[in-house]
Amino acid sequence: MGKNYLSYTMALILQAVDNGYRYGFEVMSITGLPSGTVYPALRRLEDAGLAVSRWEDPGVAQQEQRPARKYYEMTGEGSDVLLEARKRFKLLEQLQPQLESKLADEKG
Amino acid sequence: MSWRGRKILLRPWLRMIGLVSLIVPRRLRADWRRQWEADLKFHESLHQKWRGNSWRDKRDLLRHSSGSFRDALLLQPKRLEEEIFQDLRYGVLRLRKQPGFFVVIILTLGLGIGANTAIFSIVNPVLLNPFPYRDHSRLMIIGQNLPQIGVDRGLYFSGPEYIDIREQNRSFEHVAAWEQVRRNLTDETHPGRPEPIMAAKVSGELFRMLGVEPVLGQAITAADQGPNISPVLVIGYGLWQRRFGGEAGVIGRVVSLDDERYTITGVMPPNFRFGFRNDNEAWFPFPMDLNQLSRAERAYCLIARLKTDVGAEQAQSDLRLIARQWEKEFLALHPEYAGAGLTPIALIEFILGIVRQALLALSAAVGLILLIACANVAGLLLANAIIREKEMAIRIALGAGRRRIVQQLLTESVLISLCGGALGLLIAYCGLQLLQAITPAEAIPTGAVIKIDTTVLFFTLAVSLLSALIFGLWPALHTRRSSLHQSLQETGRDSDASRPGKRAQRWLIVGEVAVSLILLVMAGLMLRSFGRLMQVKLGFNSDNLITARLNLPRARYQSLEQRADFYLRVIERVERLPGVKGIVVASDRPVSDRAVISHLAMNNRDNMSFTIGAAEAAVVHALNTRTVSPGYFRLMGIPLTSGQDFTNQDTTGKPGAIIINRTMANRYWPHEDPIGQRIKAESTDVCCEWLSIRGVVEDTVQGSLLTPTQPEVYFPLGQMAARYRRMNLLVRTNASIPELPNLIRREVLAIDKDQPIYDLFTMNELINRSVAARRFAMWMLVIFAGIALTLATVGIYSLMSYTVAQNTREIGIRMALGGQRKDILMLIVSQGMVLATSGIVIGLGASFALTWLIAGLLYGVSTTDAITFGGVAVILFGVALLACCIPARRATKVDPITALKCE
Repeated sequence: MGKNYLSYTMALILQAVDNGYRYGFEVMSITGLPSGTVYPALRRLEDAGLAVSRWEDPGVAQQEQRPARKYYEMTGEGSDVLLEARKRFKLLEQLQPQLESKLADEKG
Repeated sequence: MSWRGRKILLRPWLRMIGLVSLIVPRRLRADWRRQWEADLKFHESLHQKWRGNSWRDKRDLLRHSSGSFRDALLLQPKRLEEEIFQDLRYGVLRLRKQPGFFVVIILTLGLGIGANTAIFSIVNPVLLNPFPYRDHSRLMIIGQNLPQIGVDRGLYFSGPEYIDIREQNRSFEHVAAWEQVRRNLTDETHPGRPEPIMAAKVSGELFRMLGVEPVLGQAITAADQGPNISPVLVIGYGLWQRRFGGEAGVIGRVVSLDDERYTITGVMPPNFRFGFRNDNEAWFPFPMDLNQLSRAERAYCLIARLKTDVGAEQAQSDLRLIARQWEKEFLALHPEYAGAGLTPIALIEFILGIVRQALLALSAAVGLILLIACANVAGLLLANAIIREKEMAIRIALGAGRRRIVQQLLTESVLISLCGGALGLLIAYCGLQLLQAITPAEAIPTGAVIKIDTTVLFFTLAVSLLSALIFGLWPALHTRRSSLHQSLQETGRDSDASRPGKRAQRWLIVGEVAVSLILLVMAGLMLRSFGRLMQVKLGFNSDNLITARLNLPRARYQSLEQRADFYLRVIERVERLPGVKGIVVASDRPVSDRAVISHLAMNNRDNMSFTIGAAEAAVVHALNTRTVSPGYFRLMGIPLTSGQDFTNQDTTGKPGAIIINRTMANRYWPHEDPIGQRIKAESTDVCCEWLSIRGVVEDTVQGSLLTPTQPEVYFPLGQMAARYRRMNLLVRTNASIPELPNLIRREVLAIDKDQPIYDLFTMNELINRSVAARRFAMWMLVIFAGIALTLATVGIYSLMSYTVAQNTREIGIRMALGGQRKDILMLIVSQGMVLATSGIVIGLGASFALTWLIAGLLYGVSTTDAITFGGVAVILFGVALLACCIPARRATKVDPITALKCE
């Protein structure tokens, strides 16, 4: 996979990450893709430099009585590539509402 | 940290992560596992918050965790690929550096794999896919025993008997009847080109039962059978292509079989065959109602399909009931039903008979050969691994993981075995070509075509990889176990760590010798048995004797006189040909070209019933019969021991005359002269009821070299020609004349232009063909035994050479201390011979236990024949001795000073 070319599935996943669905499980739930697709894709995105991974704050995890999870964040480069992908797959943008606006709706 | 407390066992999705993590590369493992487990536990906790753990939740969690396998796999490839290429390159390098060593290995493997490929390419079409029918394992041939008239495992039933079985059985879905016939095919588009073909009369449900669809038109159905129905014909693919140019317009065309007209309604697919002969080209329905025929006229064979939920035993008891019923109902009019029995025989068993046994034995043999080959190769590689210990130790010290080393060795093994496999394919291909050249097609009764196709290629690949595993694993595991420190210190010879390896090598040799002995014994038994077979006295002179067959169509040769007249004219004309000493006509040839390997050869067509003996003591017997023209015995060289031969005066209207063979004379008239005695014929198509014995002749072979001579009745042609449409010409010539067959054909065509002759063979050719299958099995076993012997010898030789090379220093020391060369020789040889002798003893024991496997293939030789066992043991001992002596002699040439100096 070239750095500047995202397949539809990869673009979907990257967009989910961009929209704030940072953990593998959340990406699975929101995109409907199986775990065997999502986790390898996230790793590939990281290898390609389009995302970075971090372990969540252990304090938060301990509070909820579960182990700390890994989450992903999009990089600047990832943002550029995603924009490119959105131009190709016009449907992408319409598929997922922004998390922020959703939160805003809930607050408001 | 309370989540650690919960039992992971009850949460299989987490267990799965633990298992899958084993294939994740070590450096990534901990992180990977942490990520997956954390996400799964989060997922779990969500479910618990909402619904508690129902089975749907568990299923979701399992689905979630199942993706981990793919994730783990995707973390592999790049590195594994790189490593494998590295290993392959290294392996090829090593091969080039030690070419001799690897050539021996690849040759050894090539022989082992090639033998297996060859046998599999035979076993695959013959045993695994023998018939083109739907679900052939449920098809049964029905056999009949009528002890009163001497019918044992007879195959022929009468029309009413067939109907009874069909209507009264509860085990069969369909029961069909058929009759093998010969016809002359003529049609308007090819006038003057009659073609003799094999055909079969079949009942309506046969094609439906076989479950094969025609490629064109339709098959015969029940509606096509019976009187007053316009006769239809289904032809075979070969005939369609050959004579009708493969045109679709053949459907509806009218042809004549022996002057009877048929309409072609269907063409069968190319691989379709049915009948006793594999070259049946046409099938047509019975033109009459079978129920109307006589109950005693047994001419039809039966084939049935078991119902899906019925087993063979149930069918057997079912048929037994029917036989009982016949005995009860018809005994008065048909005394032959006393003690009658019916048996179902599985179709494959019936057709293949002992060929199946032979093929299974051969498969086992080549399996053993492959094991020997792998053992040899393992031994050689083991020896090599011991030498390479130092190299391996250095690599491990430099950081290569043991897993990496094992992977490299296995890759090398796969490389070697694939080369061996390629060579094996070549060997198998050449071997099969050779075999096909020396074996006529009749040796394979199902008519299967033997070739190397994709299935065989896959088999070869599988066998190669399996071999790699077998012979590669041992040295690879050995490497893992060896101690690093010790290996670095040792000079690479005879270290303690290699002792288990040495022991294994010795046991390998013992095993090889034992297996070779078993195969040699079997080959020896087959050779002796075949020798015995070829020595069987024929009872007649088979040299310079040509046979040919004729089939007279019913329409034009209806009466006895017409037929007898035709034959007389043939005799007259052929006698005048140059080089012909004489010609006679007979209803059957003394030797049939069909080998007795299965029930197929039971031909009691020419079996008739006679009453022999005075009125009160009269018993009905079923006897072989033969109809011959006058002068038959003189021409064939069969001595007439008493009485007189037939003459041209023995025709219809004259008293019935017969000639009997010595076995019959001895059996029924042991103390009196049978000449002039009378017997009564019970069959309806005999010329006269009472037959007077005119003469007695010596016994001859009847049909097959293997069956013991039975009593036989000879009829004169002039009285019995009405019974036979097919006759054999037997022509004795002064010397072998190659153009004679064509001359004979020309003469016959001159008498009747629509009368082709066929099956032209010399008698010696026929005899060879009759034992073709046996000879085939014999040569196969001989070849395999030879291969096994070669491999075992090579194994012993290599082990001894290696031992000598390893112990050069010790030998040098011994000789420096005053040891004699003779003693060194004895030492080395005794080491090797101990192994060989153990192998021979074990092999002899195993042979005693196993030779029953080929008992059905032997003739005149017992399975524990002392000469064979003894001879083989001696041969093997001698060969092993030679294999030990050569390296031992090399040991005695060791110069003590050089030996002490060398490292």
